[in-house]
Amino acid sequence: MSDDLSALYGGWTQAMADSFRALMPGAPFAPDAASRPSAAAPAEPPAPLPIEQIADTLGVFAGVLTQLYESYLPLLAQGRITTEPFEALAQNATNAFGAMLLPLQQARSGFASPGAWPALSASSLPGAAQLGLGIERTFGGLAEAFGLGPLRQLQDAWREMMLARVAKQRAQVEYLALVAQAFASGTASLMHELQAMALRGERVESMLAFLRMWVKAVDSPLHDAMQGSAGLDATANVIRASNAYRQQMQKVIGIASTAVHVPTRNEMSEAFREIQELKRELRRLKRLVPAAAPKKPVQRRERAA
Amino acid sequence: MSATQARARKVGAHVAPAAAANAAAPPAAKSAAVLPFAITPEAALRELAMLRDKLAIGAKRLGEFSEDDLAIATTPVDEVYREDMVRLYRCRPTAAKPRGIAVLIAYALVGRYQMIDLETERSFVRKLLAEGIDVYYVDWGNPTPAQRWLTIDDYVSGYLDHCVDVVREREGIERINLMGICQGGIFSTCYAALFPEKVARLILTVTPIDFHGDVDAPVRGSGYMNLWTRSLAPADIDALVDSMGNSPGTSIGFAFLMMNPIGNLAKYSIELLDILDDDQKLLGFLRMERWISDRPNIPGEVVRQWFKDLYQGNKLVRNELVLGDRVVDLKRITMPVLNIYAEGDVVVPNACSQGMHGRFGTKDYAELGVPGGHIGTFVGGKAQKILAPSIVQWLTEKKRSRAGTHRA
Repeated sequence: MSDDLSALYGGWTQAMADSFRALMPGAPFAPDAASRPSAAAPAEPPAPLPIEQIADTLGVFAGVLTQLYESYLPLLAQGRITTEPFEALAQNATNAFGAMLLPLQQARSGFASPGAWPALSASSLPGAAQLGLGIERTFGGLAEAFGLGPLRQLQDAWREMMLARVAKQRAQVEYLALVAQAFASGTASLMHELQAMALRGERVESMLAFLRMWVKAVDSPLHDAMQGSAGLDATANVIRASNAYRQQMQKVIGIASTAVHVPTRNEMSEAFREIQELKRELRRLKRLVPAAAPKKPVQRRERAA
Repeated sequence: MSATQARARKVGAHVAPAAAANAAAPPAAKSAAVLPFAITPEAALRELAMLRDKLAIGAKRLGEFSEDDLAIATTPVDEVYREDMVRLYRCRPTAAKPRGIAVLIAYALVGRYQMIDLETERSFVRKLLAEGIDVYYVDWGNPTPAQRWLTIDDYVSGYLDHCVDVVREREGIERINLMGICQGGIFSTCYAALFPEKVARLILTVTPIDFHGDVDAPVRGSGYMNLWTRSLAPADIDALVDSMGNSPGTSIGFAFLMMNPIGNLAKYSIELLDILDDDQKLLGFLRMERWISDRPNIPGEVVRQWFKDLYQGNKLVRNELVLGDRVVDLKRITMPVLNIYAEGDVVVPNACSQGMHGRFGTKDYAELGVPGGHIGTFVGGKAQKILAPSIVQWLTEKKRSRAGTHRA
């Protein structure tokens, strides 16, 4: 995850948009890459208060509402809404996540071969081309200047990194599939509640009211899913896969750094560790020297004690 | 009103007796039951137009607030000590008749100290000051990548101990009143156990002591951090810390969002919609967002120890936690302890923070439940009426009691 405030809000705003798609007839529940907000870095550092991001969120929500309401207009025009389109939504979600796993399988088998290097730049994996270009620009030419050894190490590490990336994406998709199931379960429970309302002679008179009922209905299934063993396993797998990807990425950068005589992350980290240990030792020594310790307090009056 | 009607009304639904044949129709076949919608396309479009207008006006309104409108932690303070990124502040007294009681507040590393002084009208700090309490608090700052090796002991035996010494010296006292909030409560507990000679009274708020307290009493939507960390292997935590160094504040923010995903989705959508035309509520929301968005990094070694020794190993309550070269023995906490938990806390389950009588060495232990959640303890309307007055009363009683028995 980027250590950037706008990334946090942007990601959450997009999650909101994706989540509401689970209630749109005809729209599969799956991340919609085309509708993602721009990931471009902000021109200035993010403000302490992300007011712009919140304003953006309102804009995205307005778009979500428009899509949502428009998706219901044909059904409302019929004057008769049944559970059928909602059952189709659950099936769509299952199909969508199954479809997302297929290219990840193919990508994994492609990267597993040593000859995968030439294919990497042409990979259809999201972000692979940009990442490849970035590394090539930063380290490619320099690494070549120092001979083929580092370059080959770099290629192997890069291939491992791409495999780790695919594994991470797979873990994320498996996690999202659980989320999708929970949304489907929540929608199903809403259908039951609506049917019970019909039996009692009650009705829903506004789309906004319907939206609120749905949000309430999906809350419990999502908590149940994420607190259950499958959810916890999926979460742990995402963390493990993210760790592995990050470690491989650092390996790539470490090889490149070594090749161009730049201190590696591990070397810098070790230096910081030694500094911290010295500070600890200084603190310990100060305790042993009364003069260096803070003055002993004088009991002036009964205050805190 | 039926329960469903009540629930629907609560969430804003317009529920009315069915008039249309559509709505009155009983469910048909299970696969295609008719749902009780009584909405025309025209009505839906009118509602959409109204909502879009409201969102557009709200977005414009956001841009009109000034920095003064959005300011948080506005209680005047003086910086009385600094070390690395850590700052110690003393709030300027406001009461005409000070009680002669000082308290040092240690907030968590997760989030910033501003929570205790979020808004003028709902500031825990201002309430203490108004009651005549002398308030100091620690700002832990934002560690840089170079500070990834800071441990819990560096915070407790280093920064916190130095802050305590400064307060002791400034106030001319041997022992101080120490109040810890959440993770700051853990730091304060460890401190009181390691340096009991410097602590007169210990106040814990929303502090997990028994990290496995929730195992036999799981609650839906509560204790995610406990569950997540226990589902990882120790090697996963090592890999996390080794590869990340400090835990970025945004990652921590994301973890908090995921503890209540639907609640947080609603917060930025349909719930936000409800407050767009109420300036007071909108400002409250924005100030809270300012606090939420300002999440500092957490040093990697603190995270490693926090997850492995506390969440996984539950070493604090077992008196097995080692800081530096010393074991944290809760039995050394012999001073009076006031343990305050939030009745609706989902971040720290009640089972982890409540019922700690007998865990500490003191016989003078009191517990107080306040309404609201983890953060609501400090900003919630109901909690605000209880929290500060209860603490002041407890401190005053303890001071009087001690004066009567020990000073003669």
